[in-house]
Amino acid sequence: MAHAHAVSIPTADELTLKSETGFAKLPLIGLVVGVLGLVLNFVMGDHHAQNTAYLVSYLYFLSFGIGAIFFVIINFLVRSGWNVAIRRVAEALMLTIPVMAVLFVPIVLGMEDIFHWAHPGAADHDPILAWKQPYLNSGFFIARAVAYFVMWSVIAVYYQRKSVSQDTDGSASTTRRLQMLGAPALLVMSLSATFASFDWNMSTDPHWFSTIFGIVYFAGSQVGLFAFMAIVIVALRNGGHDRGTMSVEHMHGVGKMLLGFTVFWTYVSFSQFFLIWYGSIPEETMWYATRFRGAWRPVSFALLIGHFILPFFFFLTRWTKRWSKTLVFGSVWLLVMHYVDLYWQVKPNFDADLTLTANDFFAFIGIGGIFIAAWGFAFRRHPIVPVRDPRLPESLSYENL
Amino acid sequence: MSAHWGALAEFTTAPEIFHACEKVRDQGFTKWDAHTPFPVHGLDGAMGLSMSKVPWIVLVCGLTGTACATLLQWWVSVVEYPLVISAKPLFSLPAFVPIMFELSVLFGAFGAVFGMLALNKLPMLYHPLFQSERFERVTDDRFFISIEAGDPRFDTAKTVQFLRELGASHVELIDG
Repeated sequence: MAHAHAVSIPTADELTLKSETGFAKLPLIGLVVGVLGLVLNFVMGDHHAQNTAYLVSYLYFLSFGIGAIFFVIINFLVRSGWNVAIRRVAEALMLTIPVMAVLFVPIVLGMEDIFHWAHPGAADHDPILAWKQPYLNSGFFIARAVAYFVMWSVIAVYYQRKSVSQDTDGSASTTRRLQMLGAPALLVMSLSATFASFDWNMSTDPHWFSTIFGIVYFAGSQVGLFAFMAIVIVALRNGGHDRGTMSVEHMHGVGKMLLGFTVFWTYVSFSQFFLIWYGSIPEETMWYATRFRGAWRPVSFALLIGHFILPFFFFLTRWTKRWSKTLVFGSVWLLVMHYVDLYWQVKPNFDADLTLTANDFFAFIGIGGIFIAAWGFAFRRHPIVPVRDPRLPESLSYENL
Repeated sequence: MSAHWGALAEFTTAPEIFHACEKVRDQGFTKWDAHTPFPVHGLDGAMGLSMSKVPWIVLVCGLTGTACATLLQWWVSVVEYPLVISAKPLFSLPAFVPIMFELSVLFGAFGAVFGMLALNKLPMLYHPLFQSERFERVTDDRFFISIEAGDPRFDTAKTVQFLRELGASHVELIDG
């Protein structure tokens, strides 16, 4: 169509990050901060503070990789074109998963401390735990974790490798193959991510259960993913690294996803609360009772306002998604809220009073540093745009109405 | 004001009407429109149309829906037929949320559909353009630009000449 911006596709070399850019320094900076943070976390404070702080930050940074896998396979599955120019950001995020698998080791080591059910003898005098023991036992728990990481890593590495292979051959059959595999991959991801959130998050309160819990984690992971992607896209555009491939339209697209998943997070989080609140069965309401008492009460309302009402009206209008400053502000805000959300899900199970410890901070920069290092390393190894993806021209002329 | 309703120019391809619209826009015409058999991408920009007002209508209608749902449920549950359910207070906001959500969506959707129709002045049973036999092909394979005589810049002879210069394959005057 008669269009103003027909973007010519830069070469793979032009779209490879040079070593003097800030992005290229991320692996080293991240690694230093990460190792420092992890060491400090496991030196300072008591075991309990160390392990619980570690778990929250772990679930937080894990969510980006999981969210990215969902994003990539869903886009192939629905044959979406708009995302192609920005897909490499998510592809690099997928590759944080194998690194997160290694970072899972401290959780296994601190298992007895983190998970009440893993305590030797915990099930002896607790009929509920005894009944759940065929599922909630150390051996099966570790086996499941290994299975999750194998499945996620295989999908992540496969999709990323195939995408990179297109940089040289531009093969359309690769795209078709990834589309076809999108459906089984999505099935595997949905089930495994759900059960992972049961295992690592929900089972910190082993008496309580919620079948929608996995979807709440998924919704949060998407909010985190799009906030992260929005910030990276703006940074790439500001530095001119994208060579004009990432437009305001892509910012707008990511902004819309951010708005959509903010609403979706609210929808599923409220659904979980609503049924439990209405049913009023003590074994179910106790989870919320803890969170509506004392210092946790304001946190619950802060989530309602900060994770829904404010970002909803903020991103409702068009220009906030298209202007770099407002998009980044909203994204940083939601990244913070995503952390608050996970903190609020996990911590009250260990601490009826809200006590922030130095470990929370050290675990955050520790895992966050390694996470950023892994992402930065994966991101700069290949062109930041899949230059010969058959759908790239479609993505470059993407426009929002 | 002349006896004519306005002028109608016919184009054969989408790129032609696209560039013609840009020129009509740059001439400063205000009371004019483009008619195409299918949506032409970017035509709103070529015509210099401002952002649609529909989102604001949807916002107001949506919030009206939220308010109506709250009032309705408060009146039913607290005033008209107080009934204790599940040991909850009569005014239990969480219990009202699904209806608040649904009515917001319903009213918002009504606002979008009927707001769009109203802004387009639809339904409109008669329009002077229907007099033109050539205009019937607007639903098939022809593209049209109409400029109303009510436009301050409209001048029968000059506007017809202007439309011809834009590359129109046919220009006619429509009676008022």
